[in-house]
Amino acid sequence: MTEIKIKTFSKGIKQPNKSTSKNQQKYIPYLFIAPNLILFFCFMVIPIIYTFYISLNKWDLIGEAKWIGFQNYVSLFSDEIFWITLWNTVYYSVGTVPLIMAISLLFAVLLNQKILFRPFFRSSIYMPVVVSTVVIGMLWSWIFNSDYGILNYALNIIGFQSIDWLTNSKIAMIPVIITTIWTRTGYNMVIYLAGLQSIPKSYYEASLIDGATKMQQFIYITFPLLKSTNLFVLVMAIIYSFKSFDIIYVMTRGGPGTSTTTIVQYIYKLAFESGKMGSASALGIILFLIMLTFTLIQIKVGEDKR
Amino acid sequence: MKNYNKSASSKKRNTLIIKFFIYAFIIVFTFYTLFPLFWMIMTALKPSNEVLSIPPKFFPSHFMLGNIKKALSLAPFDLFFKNSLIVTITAVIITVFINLLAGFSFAKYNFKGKKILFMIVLSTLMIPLQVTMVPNFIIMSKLNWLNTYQGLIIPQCAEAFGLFLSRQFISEIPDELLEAARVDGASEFKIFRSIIIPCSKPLIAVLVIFTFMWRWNDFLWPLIVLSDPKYYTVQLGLSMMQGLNYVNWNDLMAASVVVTMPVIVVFIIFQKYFVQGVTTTGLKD
Repeated sequence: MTEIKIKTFSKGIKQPNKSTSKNQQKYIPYLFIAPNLILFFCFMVIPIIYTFYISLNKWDLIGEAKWIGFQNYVSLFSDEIFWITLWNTVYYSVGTVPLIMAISLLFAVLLNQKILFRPFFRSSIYMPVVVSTVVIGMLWSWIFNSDYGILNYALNIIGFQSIDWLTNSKIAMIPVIITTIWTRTGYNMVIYLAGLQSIPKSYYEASLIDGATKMQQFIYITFPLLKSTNLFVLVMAIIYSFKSFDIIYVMTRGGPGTSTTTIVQYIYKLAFESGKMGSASALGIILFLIMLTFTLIQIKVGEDKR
Repeated sequence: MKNYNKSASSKKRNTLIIKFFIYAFIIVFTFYTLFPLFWMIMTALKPSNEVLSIPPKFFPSHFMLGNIKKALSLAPFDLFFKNSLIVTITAVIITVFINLLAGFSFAKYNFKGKKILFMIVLSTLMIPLQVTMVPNFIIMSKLNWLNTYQGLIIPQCAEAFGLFLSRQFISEIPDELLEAARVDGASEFKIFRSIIIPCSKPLIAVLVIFTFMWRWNDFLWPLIVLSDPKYYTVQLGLSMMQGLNYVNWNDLMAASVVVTMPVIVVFIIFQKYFVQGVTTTGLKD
């Protein structure tokens, strides 16, 4: 009797329990991703669609938005400043990307050898990554200061004239580029180090038996096997250069004139200084298409390799 | 035999020369990375009459720790620090929690639309704030979230990097652990709390450090959301200070040193995780 009772009792408990757990299984995964996905939709997906919509309007935030079709794009393409900022962005990108890649690869290779104080050197080169872009911008403005900056002082000592780094529109991009290289090398070096460490040691041992020199090892083993790392670093560095904002904003505010105004600087100026939401959004879409192109290239080339 | 010896010794000399150049390169470049930071600290601690002296003094005649106090009194930095701490800490908690939860779901459950939803999230990985800053500003103003903490914190909490990393990490936790807990009658959330979280400590460390660093150093988003100095973060406060004409270089550098301190401390303590974070994904700047 008691046995039966227990059985039915346990049955009675088990039955609903099973069905609820099955029901739970159905909605619980959605519940778990909900907070994340809601934020994604509200502040990522919707804004992208919304940018495109705004870009088809003339809107200064105060009045009503007025539908003007692709007029914003047409006027951007005939806007001289748009072409200047596009050129500046390309200039900045060409100035930073190859140097960052070369330097970070060089030091990744060097710091992958057995070297005294290796952890110290590695962390020192990585250190600028953790410093905020505002601090970096100010610090380097001080170094590049034309009257009291340490750099001009050093130039004077070795017999050169002082240079008005940040106030001469012809060269203002150069200090910005030097600063960017300073901030980005450590980060890319760590990625290269990871790439280097994934190369099997046996390759090098085998090549040593064949009498390969260090240089030959680099050319025939290291570099070819770093192909995917190279591609990754290249695309990430290009994307970084196209979205760069803070350092330029702090160092030059895009000036003097428009000499260091990049696309993102111009979006900011159009939207938050001139209140032209439509044009700013159109430029945002153009920036988006540029980044999408680079990303697709990376995916495509990456797949071809496999 | 003699010849062989000769070539061996010249080979030895060659490797010595190469070694010398390797060290020279590394030392010069390390100097390039460390000197600006050294210069920032030295400028910050100089008596103000030595800041603009030519030739510049590499070490101040005496260290003025009072400079830091003076610099921080030029703008309401106590307020800025409070704001930055509120924003950073809340953002770290929310970001880590919702990314772990969603990462768990994507890693350990099968549900309809999983693939598509994950693809959508992944595809936003390459879309920076710079592209969406205009509509996000408008959304903030429609929600009345301009000049608020929630406006500063919430829109940036869902980020593909953390979710991607979480899914990757959690998918390597063995299913048997979860099944065993289910047999014991644990609810799904209990499994998350008592199995997933304890097993994900290295992941959580990486997420906490990177979110902390990113939020503490963030500039563009606060710049867009805030116009009221009452809510300024340290980075905005610093940038505002730059525009004041009674602020000079050693004030700026002194404030910069203080603002940088928290991340440098975190960096030195958690170095191992920094490298791990960059190399496992390489996606976060």
